[in-house]
Amino acid sequence: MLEIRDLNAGYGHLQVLWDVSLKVDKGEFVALLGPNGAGKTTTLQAIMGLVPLSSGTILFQGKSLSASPTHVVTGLGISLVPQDLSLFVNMSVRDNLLLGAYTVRDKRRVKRSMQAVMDLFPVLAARQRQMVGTLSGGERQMLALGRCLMSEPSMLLVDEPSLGLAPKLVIAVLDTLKRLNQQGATILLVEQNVKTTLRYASRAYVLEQGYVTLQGDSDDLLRHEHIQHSYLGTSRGLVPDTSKEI
Amino acid sequence: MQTDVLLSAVSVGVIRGGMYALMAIGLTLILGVMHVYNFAHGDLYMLGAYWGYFATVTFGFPPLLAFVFAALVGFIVGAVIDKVLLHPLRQRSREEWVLNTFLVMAGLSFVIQNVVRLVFGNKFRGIASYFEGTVQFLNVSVSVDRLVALLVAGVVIIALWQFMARTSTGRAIRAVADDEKGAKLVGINLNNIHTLTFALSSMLAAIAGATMLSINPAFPATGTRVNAASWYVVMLVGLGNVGGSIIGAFIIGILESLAFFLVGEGWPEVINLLVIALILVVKPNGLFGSQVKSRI
Ligand SMILES: Nc1ncnc2c1ncn2[C@@H]1O[C@H](COP(=O)(O)OP(=O)(O)OP(=O)(O)O)[C@@H](O)[C@H]1O
Ligand SMILES: [Mg+2]
Repeated sequence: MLEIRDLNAGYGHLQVLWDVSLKVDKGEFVALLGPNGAGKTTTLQAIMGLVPLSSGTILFQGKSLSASPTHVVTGLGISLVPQDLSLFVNMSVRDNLLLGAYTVRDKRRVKRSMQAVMDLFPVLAARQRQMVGTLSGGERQMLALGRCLMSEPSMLLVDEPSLGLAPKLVIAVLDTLKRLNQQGATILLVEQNVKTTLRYASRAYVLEQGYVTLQGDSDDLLRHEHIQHSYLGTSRGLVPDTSKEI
Repeated sequence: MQTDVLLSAVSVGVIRGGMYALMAIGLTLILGVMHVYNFAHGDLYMLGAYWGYFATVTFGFPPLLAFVFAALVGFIVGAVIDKVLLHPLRQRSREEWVLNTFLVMAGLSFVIQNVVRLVFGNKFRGIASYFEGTVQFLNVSVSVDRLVALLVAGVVIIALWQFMARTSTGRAIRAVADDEKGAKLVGINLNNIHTLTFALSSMLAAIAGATMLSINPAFPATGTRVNAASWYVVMLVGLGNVGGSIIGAFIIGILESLAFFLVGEGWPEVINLLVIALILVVKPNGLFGSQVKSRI
């Protein structure tokens, strides 16, 4: 469904991603793991056309996304929950959700997805008229995910939803993603929390300093020596332990 | 006697306030959505006055049709300015955006005024009135034209408000002002929204210019004072506050005409600036605070 080949990208003269390749098949739940500053966010932004590529190709459903502006990528059915959420904080919860369906012209479909999001996150239903600025961190995370779902995307990119959330909420968010995946959404999830994430994703890529250093099935990765050393803290590795254990 | 003067001053001020509200809302929209400090805004007003003049005198349109004509041409002029001047700049670089666009708009003001002078000549083009007659109200007589101008401003502002609040496109404009990245991510084409916003803003200025034609005739420099007064409003209420700019517009309008009636010609600008300076000393973000983020 989504395939990245030999992607090089960065900010101005600072190259962040080096020959990154990864693939997510239809219906899969794949994780992209790695420490702070590895380039995970940059990878998702490159897919969305928010960061220019210096070389490489990104294919979605067989078609190249290279040089497509962000709104076109969204229109194709890829939706990103960014790390900073990028919510419309001076607008109401309802307006945010309606904007999530901006690309949907059919009013009945908008109504239907609004209902679906309200069912998924009853907290949001109760806060429809409230300004986003008054929401808690957890509610904002749900709103950001809900806003994404409003366009009924076929592929979801989610950037560190656990950031700043209490452990119980992190599990709730991951459970929600799992459920969406079971309902047919293809998911690429960026996380730092290796152990928990690998329980949810079926496959994962590990990105370190802009290179894909490891990839494979979650079960194999959990047993992998490098993961054990560097991320699961079974012994002291060279890379500092950046995993946030739950 | 003194109350009569006061009443006329206030009624003239309220009517000027309607015009300033149209102007200040346009400025605020461009500022909030595009981060452009438009110092050519008064020239868009001036062009509107010309469109009103040609519609009425040359084409013989009835007043309301003349306003619609001015609005349409103003909309198109705004769209063209964005596509020709601002769009290419946006594509090239967003660095130093505020300064670059300020210079572009200042240059544009100069060009518009001189082209108008060249093409339409250096003379006043006004009309005696759109609608004849005056209305008597509490010992004050106000010309029907002034009332119509105020009414048109009110209707246009309410329509714009509804558009921004209820339509998908209006919501998209607010979204771009709120969070550009978020707007792109939900699928909004920023280029279209920018062009539309500039066009709408230019349309509001043109409506103001056209409706005030019998009071302020069209002239290449007609926009200069209006531009300054509209900026006073924006500074007074705090950059980027649409609701506040309506209130601010009436404050400035009334203040200006009180100064004119009670102190004398030549004083309105001085008194306006003094009051604004005093308010900004007490409330540096303006009366209603600022909603424009200081990014870019
Ligand atoms: N807008 C930017 N301009 C310049 N450099 C940037 C920008 N955004 C990120 N970087 C740099 O690019 C590198 C990769 O950043 P990125 O945000 O992709 O990492 P990440 O893996 O998402 O990290 P985290 O887990 O902390 O979110 C970092 O060194 C960062 O400093
Ligand atoms: Mg990140």
